[in-house]
Amino acid sequence: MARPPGQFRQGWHRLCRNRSGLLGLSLVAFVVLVALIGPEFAPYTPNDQSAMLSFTAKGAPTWAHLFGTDRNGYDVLTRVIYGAPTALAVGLGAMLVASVIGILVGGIAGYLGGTADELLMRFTEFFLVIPVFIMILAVVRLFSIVVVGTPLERLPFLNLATIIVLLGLFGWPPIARLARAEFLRLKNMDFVEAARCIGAQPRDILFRHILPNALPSLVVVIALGIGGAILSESMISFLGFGDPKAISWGQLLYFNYEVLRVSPWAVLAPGGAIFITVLGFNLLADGLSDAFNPRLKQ
Amino acid sequence: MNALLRVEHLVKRYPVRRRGILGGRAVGQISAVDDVSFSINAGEALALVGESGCGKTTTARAMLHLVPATDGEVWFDDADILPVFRGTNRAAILRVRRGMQYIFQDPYLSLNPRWTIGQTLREPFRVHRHARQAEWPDRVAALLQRVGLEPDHAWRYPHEFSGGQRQRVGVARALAVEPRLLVLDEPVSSLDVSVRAQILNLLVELRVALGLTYLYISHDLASVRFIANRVAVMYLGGIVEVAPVAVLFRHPLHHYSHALLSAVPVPDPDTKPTRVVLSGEPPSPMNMPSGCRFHARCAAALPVCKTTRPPLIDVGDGRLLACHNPR
Amino acid sequence: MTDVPPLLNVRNLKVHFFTQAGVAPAVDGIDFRVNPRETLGLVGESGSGKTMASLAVLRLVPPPARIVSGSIEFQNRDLLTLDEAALRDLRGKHVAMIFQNPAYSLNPIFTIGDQLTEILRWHEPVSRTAARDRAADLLRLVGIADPLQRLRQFPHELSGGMKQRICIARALLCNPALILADEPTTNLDVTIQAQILDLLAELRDRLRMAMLLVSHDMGVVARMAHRITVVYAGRTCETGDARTIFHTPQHPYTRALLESTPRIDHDYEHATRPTLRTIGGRIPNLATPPTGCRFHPRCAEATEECAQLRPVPFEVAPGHSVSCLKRGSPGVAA
Repeated sequence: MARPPGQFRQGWHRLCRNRSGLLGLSLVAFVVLVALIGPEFAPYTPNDQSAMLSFTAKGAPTWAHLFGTDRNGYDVLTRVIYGAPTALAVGLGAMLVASVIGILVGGIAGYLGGTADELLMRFTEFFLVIPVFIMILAVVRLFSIVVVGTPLERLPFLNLATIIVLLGLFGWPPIARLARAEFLRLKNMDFVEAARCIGAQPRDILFRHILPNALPSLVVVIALGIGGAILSESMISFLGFGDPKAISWGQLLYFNYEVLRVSPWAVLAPGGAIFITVLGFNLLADGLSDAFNPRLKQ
Repeated sequence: MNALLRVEHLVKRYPVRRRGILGGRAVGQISAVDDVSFSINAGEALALVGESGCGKTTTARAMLHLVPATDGEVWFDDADILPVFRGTNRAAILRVRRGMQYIFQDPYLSLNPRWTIGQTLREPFRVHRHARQAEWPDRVAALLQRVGLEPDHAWRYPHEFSGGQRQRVGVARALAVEPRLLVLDEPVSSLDVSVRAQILNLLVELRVALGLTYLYISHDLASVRFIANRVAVMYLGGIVEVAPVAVLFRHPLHHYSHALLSAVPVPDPDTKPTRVVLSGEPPSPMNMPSGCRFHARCAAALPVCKTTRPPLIDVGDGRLLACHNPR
Repeated sequence: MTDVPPLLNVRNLKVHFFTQAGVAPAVDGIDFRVNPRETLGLVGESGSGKTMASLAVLRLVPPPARIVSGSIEFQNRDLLTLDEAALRDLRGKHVAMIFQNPAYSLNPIFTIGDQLTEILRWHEPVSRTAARDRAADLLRLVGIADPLQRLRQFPHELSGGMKQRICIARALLCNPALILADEPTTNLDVTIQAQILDLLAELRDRLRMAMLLVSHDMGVVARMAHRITVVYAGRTCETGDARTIFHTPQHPYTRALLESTPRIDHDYEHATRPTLRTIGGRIPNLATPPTGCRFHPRCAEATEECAQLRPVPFEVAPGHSVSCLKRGSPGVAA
């Protein structure tokens, strides 16, 4: 009486057969691994500026410094490794915030319909129209000014947390739109009607019937969003609005773009890290999309 | 004559809206169900037949409050149930729900694809709590066997089953709450021909063995002849004729019933039935004609048919008819 | 009838699905023929291969399915060897198709008039006005009042019955010799279906066209077909004229199919518990079909050799052939 594979196991099998999805999964797994145990194996501490003292700053890769040194004498490899947990924290944190808000707003709009739907969708569209990036820059700058002199200032990584929350607060509309479409589609399905007919209450229907069936599509959009959030944070840090105490790839770019010609490794390494991370999440999203909604292939 | 179910003057109207910034305004309405009344006796199978748009599915859904009725009353076991559904007494609602259940048409959509069969069948027990939790696995196994499946099918997911098997699961789910009335909405229309007979036999057997009452909705008149005791013919939201099944099939009195029955192709190349071919098409539900809904397509229409809607009256022999000029 | 060469002669057609999960033989050696001015009913359930077979005639088989082997001869030309240009000439002009769901077979973004005139002008050198007039004539022929108005309308403005009439008109535009109709009335209401079937019967008689009617509905086939071929799980079971198939079917599947269908003219009321004859089991998974005769797992008369040998069509009477070891068919290993 062996239990045959369920939906998620079948999806997993399909994902494994999809080459680009598998590649995405491997890249993401690699980045996660680096983020978790990388700092243990980093050759230097991130704040080690000894290269400055020995005049080997801005140096090309050597055996001592596999990715070279940057403008401030930091070892690039170490900094890139320490940038990984930051990137993942940003990606996952932002999408967590965005998902909760997006699924709530979209789900309620889709399920209730009528005036609630109209109001919530206008609200969503308002958020879509806002120039997100500029807003985030402005709020981050404002926040850091406001916080100066208050006890909040001493909280570690406050700036980074602010960025994460803001990315989430402005990143939920696409999730809301998809959630609304899914809830709308699912609420009229026969098995939901059957649940009502049995006597299930609305909260049962929402959480036990509709949400699990909406998750596959939502997971795809969320995976894409993680890559997008990481990219956004890199841009924010590159422009100098990032958290100075948090090591991030964008920050590395910010420190070293002026010396691009002299020490290109200092820019290429973090740039490459951003690239493979975002690519990994995008490919994974693609693979998941195919895995959960298989199309007939030639 | 104890009627288990009585539907009285049921009405369901849908407003037609023009879209605006915030909701839009109503510009008209469609009467999907327009003053429908009928009754079903305990232990009998009443068929509700008609073509698309006649309102048979909407009627059934409104009866079970899966769709809120605009007006009318539904009496189940001499209790007025629509106010119960609209009210907040959850225990009362659950009691009514246990009395009547619904079997859906499409076996591919009527089961939650992410739940095992076992989960789907345990749900009625979880909601109604009419058996102790320890008993649930046995009850589920018994239900599966009752509908011709194996107990270890409970571990599997819907996509591993054929249409016919899924439909059996749908029947099992409905039986889990021990209902007295089953509404069967085109239960075999989506199934292959060779499987239909299996499910039809099962439905007849269950009705006889468990003493159930059926409301059987279909456009497939042959299966209606097999399963039903009485038949109600609907056209554009209203009932035009009700009669015992043999009587209706042999001698329909309403011109639409006659056209409908004669249109069904018989699997015998030698039969050349006198086919009544209806002219034209059903009118748009937004532009309902005055008087009898059918007069524009009826070959026997009288002047009175254009102005006055014929009431559904008892014409003897257990028949009801709404026609000014019957055959 | 046997002296006249058939208009369409399909022999040992095989169409296979090539998927990641394996190869599924959807059509695994089907034979049928359509004589001039005759209607052949191709009857079967889902998975029988009847739709794939009809699509194969015009080489419209969608990937991942492919015609693997067999011969399809139309007016003595082998259709499987035609090049693209010859195929395009054939489609619509000599052989036309009516699809199952009229809602999906009309392009929603073009008017009816645009769609019909485009086809005419593709095949014949006519002006736009002449094409429009011919289209209007055809709409009148299929019983549509006010054709010029309809030509200006879009598909979504029309009812299902109306759309199917237009699809029939579209098939008739260039006076084809053969019409392939794939379940043309399945999605329509019963009274509309009766109108459409009457129309098709009248037109095919008047215009002297042959028709391949694919259906799962025995009633529709009884009404329309002169001859019938019954298919199951990709193989032919039985072929004969309509009266023979309905009154004296030989193949166990044909018999079981006829007996398990409830009938509108039968008296079920006298039994306290009426029962239909059923066919046990279910339609086989195409990817892993049964060995030997495809029907043997569900057949009451099956014996051991039925699981080992594949029955070959055997003529039990002139014009009536059956593929069943128990009816005299020789078997081949497979």
